[in-house]
Amino acid sequence: MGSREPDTHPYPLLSAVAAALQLLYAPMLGHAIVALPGRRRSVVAAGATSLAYPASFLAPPAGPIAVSALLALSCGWTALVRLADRSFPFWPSAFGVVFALTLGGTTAFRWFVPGGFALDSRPAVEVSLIVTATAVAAVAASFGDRRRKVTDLVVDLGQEPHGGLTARLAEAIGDPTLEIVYSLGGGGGYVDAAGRTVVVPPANGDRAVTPIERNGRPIAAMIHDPATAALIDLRTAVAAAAELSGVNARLQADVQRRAKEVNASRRRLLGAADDERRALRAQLDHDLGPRLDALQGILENAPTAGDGRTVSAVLDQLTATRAETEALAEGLYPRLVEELGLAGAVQDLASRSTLPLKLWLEPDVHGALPSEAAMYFVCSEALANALKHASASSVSVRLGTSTDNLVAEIEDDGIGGADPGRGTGLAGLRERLEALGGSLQVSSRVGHGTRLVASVPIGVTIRS
Amino acid sequence: MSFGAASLWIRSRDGLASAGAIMLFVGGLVILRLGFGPFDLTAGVLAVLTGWLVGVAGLVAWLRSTSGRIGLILVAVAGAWAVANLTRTPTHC
Repeated sequence: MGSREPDTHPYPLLSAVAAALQLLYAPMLGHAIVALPGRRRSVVAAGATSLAYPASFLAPPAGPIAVSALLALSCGWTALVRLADRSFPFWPSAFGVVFALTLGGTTAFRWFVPGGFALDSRPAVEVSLIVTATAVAAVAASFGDRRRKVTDLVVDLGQEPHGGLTARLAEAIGDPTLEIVYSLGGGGGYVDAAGRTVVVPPANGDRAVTPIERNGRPIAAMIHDPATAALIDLRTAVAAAAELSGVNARLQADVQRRAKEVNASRRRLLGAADDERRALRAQLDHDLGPRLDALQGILENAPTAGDGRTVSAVLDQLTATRAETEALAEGLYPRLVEELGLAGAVQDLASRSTLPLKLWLEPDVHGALPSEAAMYFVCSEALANALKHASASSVSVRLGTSTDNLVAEIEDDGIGGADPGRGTGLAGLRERLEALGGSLQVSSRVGHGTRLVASVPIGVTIRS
Repeated sequence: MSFGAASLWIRSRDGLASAGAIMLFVGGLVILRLGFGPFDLTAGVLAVLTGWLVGVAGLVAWLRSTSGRIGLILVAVAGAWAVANLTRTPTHC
């Protein structure tokens, strides 16, 4: 902008003040550029902007040249720093570099060629000012939107599902790789929003770790892209959100820890019960079984001089008692599973069933003993229910594996209406499966048969 | 609207932004009147438009941004630009 003669102005004082301040807008614009949010504050850019203020009061041509050069340096340096910041919009940074190069180039040209073309010609200054100010305002507004989203997070946290903070914050700051982990305090490590233990990686070139503190106490940490600048600016707001969310995470971790303990306890109880069942089974096999065999032998060889029908009836009763004892023993502990494996034991079960039964066995289906025993009990109970309660005319059994689980599907065409909440059969099976980390689903609409889907991890073991 | 409500409105961010917009508009007219003569009207209109656009950009940034510092600096840039243009004298055009 060229200088004017103040004494020809109709308001000399006003003109004098205006002349003194005529370049002040330029360092102020540089100030706005340097103040844009970013990961790092550039000392070079801030210094150049500060120097531009006094330079703006210098008389032409030194004043405009110095201000233009300092503005070019400030804007260019800031733009270069922001270019390395991946959370900062690219185009404003690129524009800043081009603008700074143009401004610096034309200023240098003017410095070496007096009277040559200069950027301070009016239309160029006006266009540059409008475009630069609009770009700065757009970037500031976009960061304002991000801040508002984080503020909303704090407000909405009460309704947030677990893990929602991370997802929404990642969206708000433009870093999809963001993870928020919550401190358990007292050197207890970190957990995620679901309460799972998380190992915080060491900060390196790929990942940065920003600790979140509240009143000097570490409450959380953000693991993020090192170039995510917005996090630094938003740390205070995130701290407020993380403190509330961290309470949830710590509760989740506590619940999970207690659930693990309870589950381990259930497994130990199950293991102890199975040991008892195994001992009872052994007693039946070794004590009662041989005695019944001996009794049967005596009766078969007894003289039939007396009432032969009576001896025959006693033998029939004895045979029935042996069969029931066998069934009872097998129900107590499925020795066949140990001897034949799950597939063999289920095939044996099917062979003894009085119901028409379709059996699909996946080849080589096997797992650890507790898992196989649980599956055997499911099949056994389902067949017994189909026969005794469901009035079924046929049953189908599918046994196979899915990922790391043994899976059984048993379906009958009976009257349905089975309720796993009543009685002890299905409820007991469900407890057994859940204690081993599995599940039991029962579908049994009245008149539409019953379908059981049981799943249990293959390699589960019980430690006493 | 009661005076109390008006006072509250002026103190709100929207109210302050509206007042700033009015000041920008009036400032532009003042520049046209005091800084530019009839033969330099095109340059005057361009200067005023520039000030208005920069000021509006600042007001929008101020309204949209939580801290609003950058928006206020841009409004100040518009003000400084307006003052700078008062050196244009009607007698020189």
